[in-house]
Amino acid sequence: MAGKKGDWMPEKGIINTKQFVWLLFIMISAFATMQLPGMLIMQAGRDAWLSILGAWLLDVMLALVYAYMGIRFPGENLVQYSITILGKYLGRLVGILFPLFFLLVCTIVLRGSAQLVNIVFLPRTPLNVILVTSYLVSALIARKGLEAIARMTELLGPLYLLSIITLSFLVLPAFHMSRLLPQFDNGVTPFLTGAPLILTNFGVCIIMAMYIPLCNRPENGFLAKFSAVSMGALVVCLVTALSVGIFGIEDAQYMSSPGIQLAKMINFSNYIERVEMIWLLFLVGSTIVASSSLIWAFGQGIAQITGLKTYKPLIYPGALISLALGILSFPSSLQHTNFYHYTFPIVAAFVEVGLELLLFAVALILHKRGTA
Amino acid sequence: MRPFRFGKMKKASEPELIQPRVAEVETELENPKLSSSLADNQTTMQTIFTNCPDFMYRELKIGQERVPVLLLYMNGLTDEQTVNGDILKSLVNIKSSNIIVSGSNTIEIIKNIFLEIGNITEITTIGEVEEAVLTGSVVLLLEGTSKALKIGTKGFDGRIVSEPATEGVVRGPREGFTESLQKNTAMLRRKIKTPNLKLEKFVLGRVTKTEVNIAYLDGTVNSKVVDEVKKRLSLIDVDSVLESAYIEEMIEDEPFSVFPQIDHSEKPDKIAAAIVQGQVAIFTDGTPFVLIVPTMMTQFLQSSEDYYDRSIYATSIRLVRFVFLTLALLLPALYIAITTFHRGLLPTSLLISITAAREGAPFPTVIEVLTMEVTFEALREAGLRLPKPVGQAVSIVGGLVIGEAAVQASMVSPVTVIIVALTGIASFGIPSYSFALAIRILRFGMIALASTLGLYGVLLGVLVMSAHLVSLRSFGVPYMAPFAPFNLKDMKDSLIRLPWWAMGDRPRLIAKNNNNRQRQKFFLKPVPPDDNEK
Amino acid sequence: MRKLVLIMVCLSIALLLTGCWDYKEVDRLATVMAIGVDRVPGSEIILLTVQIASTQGNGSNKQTGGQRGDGGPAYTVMNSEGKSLSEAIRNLGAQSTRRILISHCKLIVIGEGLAKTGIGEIVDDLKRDRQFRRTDRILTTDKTAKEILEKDIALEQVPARGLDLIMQNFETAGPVLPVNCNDFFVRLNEDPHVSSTPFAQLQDIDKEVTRQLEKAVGRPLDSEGKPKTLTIAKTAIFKDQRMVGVLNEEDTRAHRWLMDSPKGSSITLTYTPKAQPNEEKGEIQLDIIDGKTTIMPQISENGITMNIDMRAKVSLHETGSADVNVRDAQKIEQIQQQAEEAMKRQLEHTIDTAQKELKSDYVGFSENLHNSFPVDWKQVKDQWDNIFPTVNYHVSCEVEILNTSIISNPTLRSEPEE
Repeated sequence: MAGKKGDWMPEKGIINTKQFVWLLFIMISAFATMQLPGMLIMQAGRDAWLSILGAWLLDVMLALVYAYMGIRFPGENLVQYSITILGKYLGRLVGILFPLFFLLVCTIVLRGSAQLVNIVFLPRTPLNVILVTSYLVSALIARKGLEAIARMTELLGPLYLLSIITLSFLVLPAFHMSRLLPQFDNGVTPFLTGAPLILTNFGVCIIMAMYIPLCNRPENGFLAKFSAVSMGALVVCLVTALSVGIFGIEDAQYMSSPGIQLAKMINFSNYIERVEMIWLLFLVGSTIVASSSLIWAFGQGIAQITGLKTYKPLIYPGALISLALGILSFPSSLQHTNFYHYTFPIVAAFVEVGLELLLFAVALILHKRGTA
Repeated sequence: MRPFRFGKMKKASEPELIQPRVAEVETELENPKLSSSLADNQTTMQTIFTNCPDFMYRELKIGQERVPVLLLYMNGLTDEQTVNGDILKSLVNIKSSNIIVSGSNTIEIIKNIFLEIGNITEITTIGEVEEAVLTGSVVLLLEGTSKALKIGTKGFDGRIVSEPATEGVVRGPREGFTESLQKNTAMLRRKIKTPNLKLEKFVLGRVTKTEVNIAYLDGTVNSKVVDEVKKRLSLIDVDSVLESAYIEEMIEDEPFSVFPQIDHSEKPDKIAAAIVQGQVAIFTDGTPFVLIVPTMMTQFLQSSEDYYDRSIYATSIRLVRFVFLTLALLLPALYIAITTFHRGLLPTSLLISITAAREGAPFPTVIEVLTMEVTFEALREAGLRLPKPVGQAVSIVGGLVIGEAAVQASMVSPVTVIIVALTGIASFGIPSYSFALAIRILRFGMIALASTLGLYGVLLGVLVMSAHLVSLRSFGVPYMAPFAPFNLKDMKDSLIRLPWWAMGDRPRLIAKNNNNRQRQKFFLKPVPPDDNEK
Repeated sequence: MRKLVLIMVCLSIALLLTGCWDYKEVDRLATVMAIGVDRVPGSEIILLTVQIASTQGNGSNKQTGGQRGDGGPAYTVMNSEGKSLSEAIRNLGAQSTRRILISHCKLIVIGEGLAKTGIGEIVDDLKRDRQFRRTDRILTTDKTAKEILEKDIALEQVPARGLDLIMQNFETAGPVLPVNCNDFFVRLNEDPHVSSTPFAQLQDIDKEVTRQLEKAVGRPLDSEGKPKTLTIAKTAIFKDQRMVGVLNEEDTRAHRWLMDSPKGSSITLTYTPKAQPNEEKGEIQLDIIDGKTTIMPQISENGITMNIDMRAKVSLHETGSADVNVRDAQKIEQIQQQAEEAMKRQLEHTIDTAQKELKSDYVGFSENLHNSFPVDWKQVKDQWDNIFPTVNYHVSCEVEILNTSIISNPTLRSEPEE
């Protein structure tokens, strides 16, 4: 009942560094373990797992920029400092691209996971039912605010990490090193083209720029991102390397989700088998929580562009737009995969790297700084 | 530029239950002072207590001056022996002494010299007289003065201290609170012998005038929690408070949650432990159940006995309880989801035997499970409310009907019976009844989700539930602490219980001021004497 | 909050009323335990045989306690046909009252006709269908799959389970290399495009034993004739999606030594000491406890040479009637040498078969060449089929006797000790 809460909350900050790490980890790994390994193997063949390490390095460098910007503009998020840097109108124009990008990512992630659930487990249930329920739950979580999302990831993140490590151990008997060898069979080109592809996926954690101002210790932004992306890279690396080592590149590259196929390979002393559904639950749970934080970031960004007092009224409309996009823009899973493979990396590279570096350069040239 | 940086974390709208009324002004108006005329006062009191045959008044003339005196009390609320023996006798004794009892200081003389009673206060208003009489005191009115004496003679038969029925223990104190507030706070005092144990009194309920005490350990408690409790209590304005649940529902953070956000207990040792670790207890007169705030979810999975058993055993039993919790919540849902959606998860031979068992079953699995669950709940309720011997008969009949006859008659498949029975056993494994109630309700929601979307539905349900749980707070403390937000130090007393010598700190989120639980060195691990030193 | 609850309640009611698309009671399902695929050569039609675990007459009201008391068969076999595997599966619906559930199927049997005409068509379906698993085991037969799946297996109620158990046993020990769908597919896809499966046969072991015993005792044996027995002791070799040949028992064993490890199999050799030709000969059996095979390619002017090095740690399991003093280090040395030679002969024979007869690289040469010399491999990759028969190889074996089981010297002596 009455009684003001908040002004004397025991936690000082809104999210702490640990939660920051798990938020980013869920974001990266949920997005990148679902369909990405297949595409990556198509692109980079046996060197796929190596290009993940390359992308990890690039992403850490990118994170430096984001973390620096977070410190240079204390208390301001991505959208706010683009307005600060580029001025009222141009800043808004650039700033609105970030929330829209988050919404696009959300569409891809949830559509991907809903497709997976639909194809693999609920084949007779209409895809739209799965999509609508996923979005509903995401929006519900998003409305509870970043604090709740952060705590969810704090519960789910370790479980997800553990599930992938367990998965790896359980499929290890089927792993053949000879299928992963030799490395650099076709020169370094596959490695070099694979790295940017996965970078665009890891780059989704530019959402960290939305979290930094809400973190109790914003200076830990880089550290958090570094640990999150390292764990994320480890997870994707495991899935990719195991997929190649078990299915060979010929088969693995056309799998719509190598992770699920890996889980289907589990046969532990002929007793623990057919458990892919359990792993899928962790994956889908993570994607739903990840997209709730994407929807939250969308609402937050748009609210700042339009000057609204709170982002909450934007959550359901945002989820609805994303849902409509998810249903209408991909007639089949094929279009989704193609969009994700060919178009999305370009868009993502533009937003994640291009725009941010632009902001960074302008801020340096014009000597803009945060005021707080 | 940042219009909503911190505000957004709070709830959009605070639930408003009651608007506080300005009580002080009313009391001023409706609470006239006593008159100095005894006759006037007597008429006033008689008018107030019309049609109250248990209202007693007795006129006396005391001292050699024969000063008229009026004794007012409620029959049955006062200790008859004190009234007859101590008060009346001492008043009569005034005559034999040679002290003059008249004039302005009569009342002081009576109070200070003659009455052989400890608890006497002076009161001046009619309202106070009324309240004193109604709460079991004897009021002494004197001719010629506008003051009255309130003589504490509270005494009526209450239940004796006995073992609480709700929280049985194998090892540990067996006493339980009673319905009497005084007795209860005394039991607490017996355990915590420090003046830092503060008790603050509230009177809630316009009609019931129930006394409510909050108890906390000054210097350990987070004073903001105490202020918050006081604030929330002072905002309560209802006509009656008959049980602590009335208060609980009016001071919770999230009124529409299915989860209890305030723990309660009728065991003094549990309350004392809570107070010592920095929580606030709310005692309510008339009920043995004492509230504990703030509360975290793990508390509902803990029993006071966990602290009396060896820590290894306590830890394992807590882990088992966690499994129970999961089973009680999800088992029927998982059964439905797995057998009707995801057969792949079953071992092949189990699938075949489940199929064989279901062969010819007339109802779908969902209906079977729902029917059995409802039957089980009905049986449980029946066993709980009926007199004990009848309750046992109900359980026997129920067990026979469910376990044997229904299966024999091919109405339900035996696997369903096993699942429902397991769920029932698991839900008994949750120590807190009120938390088990929440799980019981949610179980049905999970069954519905499982039967529409299979495990995916269960996942959605669990996600929504955990989103709700992590956003809950009880008096500012996150409900899911120490899991979310994660705190390694506080894990020592959550799913696991470390030995007492390793629990140096009080829980970080509850106690603020004094972080050393034992006021000793942190690491008190017992070390056996070194043989070489001999 | 209240509105939200209302929305949730409405939605869940709507879901409950319209939902349950995938809801299906277990007793409305037919659990397929194994599928068999046949094709008549020259025809386009796929002939499907499925073995379904039967649960009829095992109802809850009968207190059978898991045991089938009523004597009915624990499985049913259904057949259908179609232009493709999935069509044949769909066509099962025309006769089955229950929905076909394949996710528990653990075994895929390929009939000889299909194996020889090419399995390409069914492979895509096996990979694509969500219900098939890559851990399913694959089995080829010289008969039709129908015959195999209709065969009872001793001690097991459901034959498919029995077959699965036999293959499970092969995983730890046995001469045959067990292959699951994944390995099978991956090998077919990878470069030499050669893969193998265990090979099932129906053999009249009972009649054979009876015949020999009758010969020995000179009268008809008082035993009832039993049906043929299903045995898995050979290996089918697939190349480019066609079965090109079958390895006999000895080659099967060596095939496993080369592709997996010698661990778990055993060798039997006739003990013929060189130094003392008078000593009695006997069959010695060695169980390989641990072992490793490495194939190291080597490229020189002469072309490609494969150095095959096999190390086995064995346990002396039987000395037969040989009066051999195994406590003598020299004797042990001799046995080891003989075993090495025997193994070497065996490996050479198998490789020769691969190179000369079947012309398929099922011995793992290309895989090792690719991993060791990726650049050179690229040059020979396209002509590998022509190069493979000409590849030189060199086999070296090393056998080490670790123990002699629970006794040392044979105590069954031909003549009493002095």
